[in-house]
Amino acid sequence: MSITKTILDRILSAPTEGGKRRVDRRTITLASIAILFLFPLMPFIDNYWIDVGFYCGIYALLGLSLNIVLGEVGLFDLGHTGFYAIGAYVTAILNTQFHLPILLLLPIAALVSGLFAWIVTAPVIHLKGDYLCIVTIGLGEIIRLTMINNPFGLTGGPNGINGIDGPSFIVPIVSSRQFYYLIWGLIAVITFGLIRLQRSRVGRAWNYIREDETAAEALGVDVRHYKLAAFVLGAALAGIAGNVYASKQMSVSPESFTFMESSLLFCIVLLGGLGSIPGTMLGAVAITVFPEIFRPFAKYRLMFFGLALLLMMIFKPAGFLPRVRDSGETLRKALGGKRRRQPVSDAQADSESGVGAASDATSGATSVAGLAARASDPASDLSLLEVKDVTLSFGGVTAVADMDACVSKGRITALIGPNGAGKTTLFNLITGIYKPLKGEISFKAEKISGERPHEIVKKGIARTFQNIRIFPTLTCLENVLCGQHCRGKAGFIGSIFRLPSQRREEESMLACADRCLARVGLAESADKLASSLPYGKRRYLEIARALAVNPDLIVLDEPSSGLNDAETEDLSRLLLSLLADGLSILLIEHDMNLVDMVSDHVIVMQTGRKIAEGEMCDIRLNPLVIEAYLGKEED
Amino acid sequence: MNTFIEQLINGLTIGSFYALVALGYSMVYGVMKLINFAHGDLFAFGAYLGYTLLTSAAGKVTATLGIWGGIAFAACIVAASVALAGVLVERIAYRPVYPSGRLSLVVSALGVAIFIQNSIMAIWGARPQAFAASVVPSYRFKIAGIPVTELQVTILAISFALMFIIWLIVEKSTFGAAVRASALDRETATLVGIDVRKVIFFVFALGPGLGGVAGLMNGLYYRSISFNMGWNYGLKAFTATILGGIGNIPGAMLGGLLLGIVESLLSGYVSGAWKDVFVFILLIVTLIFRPTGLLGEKTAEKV
Repeated sequence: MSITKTILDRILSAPTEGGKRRVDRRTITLASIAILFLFPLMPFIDNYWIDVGFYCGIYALLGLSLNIVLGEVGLFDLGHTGFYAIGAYVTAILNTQFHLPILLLLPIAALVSGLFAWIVTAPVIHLKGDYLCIVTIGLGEIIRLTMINNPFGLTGGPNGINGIDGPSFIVPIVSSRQFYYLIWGLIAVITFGLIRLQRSRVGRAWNYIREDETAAEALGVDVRHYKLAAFVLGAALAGIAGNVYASKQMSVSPESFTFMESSLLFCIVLLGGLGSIPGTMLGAVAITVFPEIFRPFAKYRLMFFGLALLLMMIFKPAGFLPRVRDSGETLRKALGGKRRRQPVSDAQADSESGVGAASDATSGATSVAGLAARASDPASDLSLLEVKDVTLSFGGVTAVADMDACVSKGRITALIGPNGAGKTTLFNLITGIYKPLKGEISFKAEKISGERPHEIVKKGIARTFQNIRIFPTLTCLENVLCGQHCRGKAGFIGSIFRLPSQRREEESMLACADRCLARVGLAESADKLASSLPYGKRRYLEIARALAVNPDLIVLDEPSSGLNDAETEDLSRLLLSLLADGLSILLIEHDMNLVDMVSDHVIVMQTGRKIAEGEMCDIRLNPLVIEAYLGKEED
Repeated sequence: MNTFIEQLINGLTIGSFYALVALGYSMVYGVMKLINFAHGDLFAFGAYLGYTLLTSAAGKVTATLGIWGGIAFAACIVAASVALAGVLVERIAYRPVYPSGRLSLVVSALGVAIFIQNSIMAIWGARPQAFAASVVPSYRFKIAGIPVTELQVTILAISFALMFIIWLIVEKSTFGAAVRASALDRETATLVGIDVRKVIFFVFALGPGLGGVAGLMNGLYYRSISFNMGWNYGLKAFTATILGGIGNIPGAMLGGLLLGIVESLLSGYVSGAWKDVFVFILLIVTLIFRPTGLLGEKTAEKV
């Protein structure tokens, strides 16, 4: 234990500065690939151990497939074995009944598993955390019990199906060694695709959901779509594992697909490190080899195994090889672009924020600076957002009642009112998190109430949250890239094959994210984890993320809360410079100095209703407002 | 009609096992937000401990105290020991992992479950064990023409009494209010002076204690126990917990009883082999329409 720990520590604590660590990782990766390749060729490795290597491969593939659902998206899936079973049984049934060749059945098994996952998870995908967990457990059990019950004589009941052919690829694959190379070859191809997905818009979207589902949806990620996609892809890969497993075993039976198996997969992902591809593989090897080593203690080995899981979680809860986030440089390098840009420095950004700096060659349509052009738009006094007669109540409490409000283009509108006045609720109504019971909200003369949050973002409303909701374990750059998500189109195919359109899009997303970070003065922190930022900077990171949407209207929920005077002053300068760039701003604020300094128009709410509206100097004198804040004078 | 009532009584008996185990899941979940996967195996541990107490030394306990005395004695020891085991599990396996987040806790819980299950196998062997007929009450009688056993009636009476007591403690006492407060918001509970450690101790003693007694009663009812019975019962009881609404005490009781009755009616009238499939389908369909279970409150996330 202690030796392994030292080695691991040494690997993990290698210097992070410069290229040294990357070289280390690269050497380790190459060495692991070489070992995996040479392992079955070693003279002292017999067929038994090659088979162990094969099962390591099966579990690695299953681990990778579950890692998509559990590691990347953070969905508790404790029934993943069900999808594996479907792949295996589809292969077994079609092969024994219709004598279809195994390798032809490989994509079929993947398709059927994926399709099945789509059908069964679509109705339940909205369930949260543990409720989804029990549903997946239930699905796993339903599949296993169905196999046992032998419907239509298809599954062979408790004994399963025997006499499955081996695969053949040019030559028939029969020996342990050939199977070993088959599974690890498949893993190599799949891993290649998965790494590319991790470094794409799709992979990031998954991570946003894992970190904070609400924030992801509110910043333009179609949460439902990406969750389902993760299940389908995960199930398809598990189906592939099932296919290879069935042909290696030449038989399938329900007892290979128990709840215990699903728990093991869960442990593989967690032992390796959530979302980490090399970690998951290492986890799979550990889980497979451990019982083999302890075989002499047959009776106690699972006892030790349980204990080992426990100790691992106590001493190394992040897993063997926790996911290392890619730096901006790595992401750019991965795109293979020769035009690598240095991150924009803060000083440069300051000069850019002026009206004149709009002509950034690479910025294209998705540029903040590009907005500068709109500042002098003559039609800037038009109303941008209109809230008409909107009502929402929770149970018996009416949070917002018959609310009317209007936000003009190119203005800063402030929404003030005592605590519990319904300000944040109104924000949630505008951004689509709640749907109004009555009334209508329109943006740019188009009705938006009733649409889902990620669709509203796309139309040009970006927001921040009262209680900061950044994605803590992602880098600042990745956080800001979330805002650009809704401006991109690249899907699975584009990301895996890195099509030219995807590369261009990715480059412009990165460029935009850099600009937005620089805009709020966080350019230097681009590669730092968001959780390492101090409180005030987190607020700025949220604003940068919202800016990356390239919105027309930015909706800020108490941006100054928790900031000191100097920071608040900085903030007001930032807001005014955004305004100068042509953005419209709606903000909830308790700091009346800030409101006074920046806002053109003030709306006052109390108990869900608008009680006053106008310029700050008038609002100050309004008796209703004074009463709302200070209470009624008794005399 | 009579068969229907017989099935119903049978279902209620099974359901009361589920309900007692589900209470443990629910209470622990409420305070820790953790699915205690080891809970099912603590139930099995209770059954095995009871088995040893009642059948070792040639049934000396029963011989001295009589059948009912023996069972009462065993139940007390089982409750205390399994409660202790539950507290130990929390101390050793959950408390050190708690800061690392929920996923690590799940793995830790699975590790403990595997450990307990295989410890039972190492101690008592892999083959199922049977309670000797001499230690199990066997008197049968009829109520309004429906045959019931003395044991069945006792199990139902004890289960309902225990559930009522738990309900009283959790819903009516000051300490129960502390438990509910910790379940709602652990941090705030600490702020208003609730000793959350005490609450955790309480739920990890009481939940497994009840589970252990349920295990013993289950062993007496079926007379046969196996080392891996914890998985299955744990899974069913957990299903019951979710069905009723996790973290909700009356919900766990309702879910457990309902699940037992549905299961029993399904195996009586539809198909024994497919009953579990139907049970899980029922669960999934319930969750589609009521995403937080039957009695679970709709929790609006604060944005």
